[in-house]
Amino acid sequence: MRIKINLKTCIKTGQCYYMHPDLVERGQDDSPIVVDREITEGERPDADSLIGSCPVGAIRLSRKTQSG
Amino acid sequence: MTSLDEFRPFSEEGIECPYPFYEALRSDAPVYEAAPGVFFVGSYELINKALRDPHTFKSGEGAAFLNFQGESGLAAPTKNPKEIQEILSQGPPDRDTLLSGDPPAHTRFRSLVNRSLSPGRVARWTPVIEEVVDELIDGFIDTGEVELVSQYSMLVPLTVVSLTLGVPKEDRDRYKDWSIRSVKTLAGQLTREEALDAARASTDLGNYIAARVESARKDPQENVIGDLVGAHLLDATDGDEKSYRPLDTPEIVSIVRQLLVAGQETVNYLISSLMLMLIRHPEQMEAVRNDFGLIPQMVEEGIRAESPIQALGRFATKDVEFGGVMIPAGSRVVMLYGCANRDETKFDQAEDFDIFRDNVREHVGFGAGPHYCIGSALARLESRIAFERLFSRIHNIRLAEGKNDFRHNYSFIFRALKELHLEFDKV
Ligand code: HEM
Ligand code: SF4
Repeated sequence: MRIKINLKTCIKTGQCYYMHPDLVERGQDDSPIVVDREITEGERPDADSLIGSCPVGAIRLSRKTQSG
Repeated sequence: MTSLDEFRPFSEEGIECPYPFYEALRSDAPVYEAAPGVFFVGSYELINKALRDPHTFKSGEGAAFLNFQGESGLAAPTKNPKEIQEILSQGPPDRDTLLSGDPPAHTRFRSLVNRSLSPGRVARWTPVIEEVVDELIDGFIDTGEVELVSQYSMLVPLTVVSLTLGVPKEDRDRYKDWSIRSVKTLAGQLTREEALDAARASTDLGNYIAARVESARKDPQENVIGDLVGAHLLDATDGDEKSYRPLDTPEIVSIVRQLLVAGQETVNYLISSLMLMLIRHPEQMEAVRNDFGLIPQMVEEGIRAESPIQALGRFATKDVEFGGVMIPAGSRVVMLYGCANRDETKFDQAEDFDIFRDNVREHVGFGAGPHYCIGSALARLESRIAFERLFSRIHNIRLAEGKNDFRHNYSFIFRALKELHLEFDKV
């Protein structure tokens, strides 16, 4: 599983990287940058909380193991 | 242009139209010491920096609440007078949870509330909100006229929040009475009698919410209070071991109260000021009526152009040079959302209402960073439905002649039309 953020919907509120700095980092222009790795089963609750933190619903989990 | 120190931003006229002052502020001193130890931040770039830096600019210790005192400006966030404290002490004790919280505690509380108010969760309320809104419209549609604030824009969010909290039908009238009376403290200057009345209502409401919380502890509920009762707060971290505890009742009451207060008045102000702007821009009203798909961007532009929350505060935690100005530790730093939203370096023709601007979603009317409005998805949803239903049922919406003075509440913090008298025809 990987975290995906739709940057077209994202309005750079920063909620994701304030709530879960170990999953999403703050980029130069305040855009979110997702950690470049698989999410473990153990991190699943944090990933769900991350998804719920986005006020515009821009974050989701992708089942694909490799993001191409 | 008038020089900055000639403006009187706290005077009644200054509040009635703050925009010339804001314009001077942005061009002359985007960080401006308006009174000793009180710094205004007015540019889009700087407000974004400050809001995203809670370690330098904190919300706790009453910083968020600007204690607006009329002409004399902002008072220190002193405690309430004794007689008010006495009334409030009969309700649940106060806790710092969201608005007045700072990381790391703020982050923990917020993570428990986020999910209940996420876009996906609030979307489930759509049919219920439509029903509420239609009932309100039923109340005035046959008369051909409406005072929009008291008959509609105030009641939409009040009823919606009461539903998301699971207030049963038989309690709605009591709840409505307490809510309206207790949020009066936000409206601006109160007389002593009004302040006492607001405190009594606030205490009754606090006790009522506490009772709802206790009943939700016994029977699980599908609403925000139910979610909070079932939530577990990160209490301590010991190496890899994390321990959690349930929220106590005063904590839940604090969160719920903020949802209620922050969610009720803001949406009220948005709906009424947006309607006035649409009437003043008939071509845009027409465009939206013909294509409801434009309503979301219309809502965003409404929040930008007449930001319901104009200002909230922070304290500087250390000496900091900011926007070329030295801000000493302990200073009050005032975030002027309504000013930053008219920054010409960000928004072309920023003074104009234009739902078609390409960066319409980039306003800071919901804040930015850790305190970004937690109710924004609900606010967007209920405002959209409020206009969709209104536009579906009435047309030829116009100002009622001779009845409007377009005055706003005397508040430095909120931008609130007092009344908006309209006439219309049924579709
Ligand atoms: C158009 C309507 C609204 C506007 C313009 C608005 C604006 C804002 C702003 C500017 C903030 C940031 C405060 C800061 O920087 O310290 C905020 C926070 C907040 N809002 Fe809203 N709001 C609206 C609707 C709502 C609704 C409907 C709710 C509840 C259901 C709500 C609940 C809150 C809460 C609890 C916070 C504090 C969040 C925190 O500190 O983490 N708001 N809002
Ligand atoms: S929380 Fe959502 S909108 Fe905010 S920065 Fe993250 S992805 Fe973007």
